[in-house]
Amino acid sequence: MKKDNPTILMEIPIKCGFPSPAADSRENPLDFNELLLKHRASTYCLKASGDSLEKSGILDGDILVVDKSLEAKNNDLVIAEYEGEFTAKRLKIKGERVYLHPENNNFEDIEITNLESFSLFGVITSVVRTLR
Amino acid sequence: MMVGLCDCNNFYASCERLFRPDLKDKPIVILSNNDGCLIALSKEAKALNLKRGMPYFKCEQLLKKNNVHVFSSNYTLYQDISDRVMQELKDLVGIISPYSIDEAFFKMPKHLSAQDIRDKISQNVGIPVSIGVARTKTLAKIANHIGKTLESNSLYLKKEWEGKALYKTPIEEIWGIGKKKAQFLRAHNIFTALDLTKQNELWIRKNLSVTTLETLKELKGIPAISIENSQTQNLCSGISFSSIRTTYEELEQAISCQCTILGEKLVNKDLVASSISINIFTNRFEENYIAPISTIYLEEPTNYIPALINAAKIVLKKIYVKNKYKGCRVWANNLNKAGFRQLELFKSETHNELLQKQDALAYVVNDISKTYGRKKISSGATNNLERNNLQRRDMLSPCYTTKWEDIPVINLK
Repeated sequence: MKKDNPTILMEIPIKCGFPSPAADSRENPLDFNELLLKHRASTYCLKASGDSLEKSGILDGDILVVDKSLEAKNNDLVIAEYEGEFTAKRLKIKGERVYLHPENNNFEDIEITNLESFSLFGVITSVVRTLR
Repeated sequence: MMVGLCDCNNFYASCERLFRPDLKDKPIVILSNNDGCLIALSKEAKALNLKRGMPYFKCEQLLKKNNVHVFSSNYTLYQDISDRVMQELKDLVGIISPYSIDEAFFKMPKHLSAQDIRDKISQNVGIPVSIGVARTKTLAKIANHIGKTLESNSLYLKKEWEGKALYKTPIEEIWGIGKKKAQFLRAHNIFTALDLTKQNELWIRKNLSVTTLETLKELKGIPAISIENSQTQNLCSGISFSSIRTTYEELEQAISCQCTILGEKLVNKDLVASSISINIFTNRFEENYIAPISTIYLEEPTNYIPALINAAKIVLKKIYVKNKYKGCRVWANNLNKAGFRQLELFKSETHNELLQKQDALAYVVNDISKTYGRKKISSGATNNLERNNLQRRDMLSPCYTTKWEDIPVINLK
């Protein structure tokens, strides 16, 4: 092919308004999933009913976001299975001893003595509350 | 390369248990569509000598007497939990090939142990799984089967253990060997998987089928079924009616509904069907039981619901005779990826344009169903209302993971 005979690749008219100066800087808007759902496959939502976690800021009707893939540490708010029931408490580990600590003065700590009937369901990572 | 198989233990029962810690170690059964018969059982229910396929009305007393917890099938829940298991497995191992709602094959990575995978999925999703790892898929199935009986719920089947595992596996437990083939093999003194591996390949090919030959190779450690190949080959949608149906019109409606559900499934999986089969059946426990079935090839592969319905009607006309029908099923067969459909070379441009429009319509209908809920839009043939009333699901558990109003409540006390 001769050099002075250029190939035409496209022949389409292009609309030429003034380009947005910000077009190259566009990013996705805030996504709540990014904030609340770190591990989609292992995250479940539960609804709180009752006031035993009041002092931690969790109120009746709140939605608890629970991640099962996290390893629970001392002072985490957790969902535990104890004696055939789900319970939500603050996990307290003191040496060899494990306690489930409620966040309400009307309730008492439960010491886990029967490890057989105890297992951790997951760690509460966020709380969602809608106001209106 | 080693192949892994991840299989959920008593999957439906485990899903029902996920948010019901009170049901731990309790017998659970799940009923089929329309609460017809038992389709899934927990380990404890199996121990009561209950069996899959038993009609519910026949064992209702036995269930009550033993305090068995009975659930209608909650496929919304099972599908969501299945998606989570598959996602978790994918995150762990990379490439997976889902085989059914509760099983997936995968390439076993070198840096993990079978038990690592089992523990991670069981903890993170909350559903107990078993892992079998071996040289081929068929051997991985066997490894998984044996793994289930071990405390670790997992087995990495080394080459030198294969002989022993095959010796322990009865012929009918081999993946791909059905009842009929097993009977035939037993008649020829082939009782275990090990016996089968000692057979002459020509003899197998002559007396059974090419697929059995593949099974034989796989048992010997030669991969014959590729991981990608085992994708869904057909899809089925069916129902047993809440009351007997006799007229052609009633059946046509029911069949149209099943075609709609099937069409949605196809679109969701981005598949097109080349043929569909229809089956209508009377009560299996009554005299003169009939269950005619017939297949029709579609003009071109499609997931377009009206096309499925039209084809289904043609088949139904062929097989229908007046009788007391108890239910119907529709299958979509010879599935292919939708994108790869070949446009007909010898048909007119307008015909091909029409096909593209149909494709587009199918996706729009599917979007509407996804956004506004199923049943909001459907073909006129289904008589819309009907889909709402078709199913009896008296003992349905909440859709814990897919509906905000159904999320599990935790008592803070």
